[in-house]
Amino acid sequence: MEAVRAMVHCRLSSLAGVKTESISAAVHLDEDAMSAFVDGLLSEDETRSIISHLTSCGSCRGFTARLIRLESTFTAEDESKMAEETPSRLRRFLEGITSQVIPSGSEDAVFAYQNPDENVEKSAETTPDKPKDKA
Amino acid sequence: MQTLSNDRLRSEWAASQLLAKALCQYYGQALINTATRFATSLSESEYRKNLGSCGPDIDAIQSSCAASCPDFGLTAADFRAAIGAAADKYLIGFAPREEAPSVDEIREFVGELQHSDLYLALACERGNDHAWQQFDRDYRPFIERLARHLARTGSDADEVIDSVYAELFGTKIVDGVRQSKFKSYTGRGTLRGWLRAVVTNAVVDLYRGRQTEISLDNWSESGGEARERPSFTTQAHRAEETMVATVARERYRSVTVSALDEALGSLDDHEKLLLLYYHVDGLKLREIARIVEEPASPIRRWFQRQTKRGGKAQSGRVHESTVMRWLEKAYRKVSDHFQTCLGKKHGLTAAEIEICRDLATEDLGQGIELRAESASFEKVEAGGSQLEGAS
Repeated sequence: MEAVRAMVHCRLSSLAGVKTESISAAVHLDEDAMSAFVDGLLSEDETRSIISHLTSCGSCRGFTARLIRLESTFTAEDESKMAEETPSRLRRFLEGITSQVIPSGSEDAVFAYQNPDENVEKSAETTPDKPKDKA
Repeated sequence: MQTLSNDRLRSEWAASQLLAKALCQYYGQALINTATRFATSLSESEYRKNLGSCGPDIDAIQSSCAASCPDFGLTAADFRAAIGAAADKYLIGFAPREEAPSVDEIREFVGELQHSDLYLALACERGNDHAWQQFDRDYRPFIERLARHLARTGSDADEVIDSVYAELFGTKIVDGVRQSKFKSYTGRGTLRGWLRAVVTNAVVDLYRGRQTEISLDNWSESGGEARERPSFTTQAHRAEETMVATVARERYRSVTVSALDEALGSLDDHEKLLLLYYHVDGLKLREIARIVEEPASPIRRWFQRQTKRGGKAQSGRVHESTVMRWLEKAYRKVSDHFQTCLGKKHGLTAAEIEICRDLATEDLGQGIELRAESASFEKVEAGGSQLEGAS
């Protein structure tokens, strides 16, 4: 099987360059068709027609190969960046629950905790709150 | 005589167009005058009529889109025209047929389109400010990230982003109408997928324009991927070979090439494309697997039909091992056809066929560096059953 694979590899490579030259630019696939093909959104009939073109046009096939490769390299990178930029679905869900359980507003301060400053004298702990501005 | 028959053809054509227009009355009006490929004008008339019958469905989709985006300023006629153009291009152009597609087929096609994406693109094409604002909000981050991913430098990426936006907006004006790139989007695929292709093309154009080596890995615009591969027909001859040996070798070489071409030609286009993606364009197995990961993928369904005729399409993930199995099947077909061709067509004996095999292996083995993935092919294959997905 290794020998057959090697034969196929070499023959297809040498044929690919020759066939492309005979195809005029007018009959190349456009971005609309190539992206729909790569996304697998075409019907069987449409796909058959496009595959037939791709087997004889190295230019369009190369472009679709690039899109396919990009799909696997860029999508992962894109998704990780999106995750950095926007809160995850789980986080948004938890935040939603939190906002329902815990009323927002000044009461949030209840959960704020601050380590007591060791330099502050104990007497300070008993110091009553500053009187609020009457205004 | 010739003139008369041409005149008759022309009048028949004109009559069929009138008939089509009459049948389409209201809904079909905007869907006429686009290039289609029909065997007969009668089929085209029927197609227009059927398309016209889907008008209420198209209008319902338009109403739904308009309700979501009331400021886009698109009319029902604009939307019908766009849907009609998409149907002409894909339903007819890419799937030539003798008979006109039925109303149900057209309805299914229309239902598959990316309606909201198309609605946004159409409104942007017409220069609607609200649509542009939404497009910028939804897609600019994607365009920028993709451009920076593909371009060599930050300034190149900026240049690509500028040129993409200029193209999308349209810098040319023909007959008072701005020629926006959005016009070429039909809604058959997603707007995001289309933009991915547009940005990729812009990057290629940028580097092609500078006449430098394109930074995109392994990119070749003219199928010249094979440039550095050793050619089967240009192998150097060994100096120590005698003339007789060379003549015999050439004879076997030519029949080997001929048989191999015939064997490759006997494959279905699906199998050819799979082999080309793998051997010529250098796609990895997992990348090929990715394009068939959708259970409804036509390519996947085709290969599954070959594996299990009449069986139900399986919904599991397509693993690398499945793609390898498809490749292996194609290799076996090539091998069998190659051997049969040498024996029956060229009349070679079993011993001679063996010489051809050895010759091919010897020749093609020289200087070929199969990818690491190929080298580990057998190893992965051995554990393939554990990875089996959907084949």
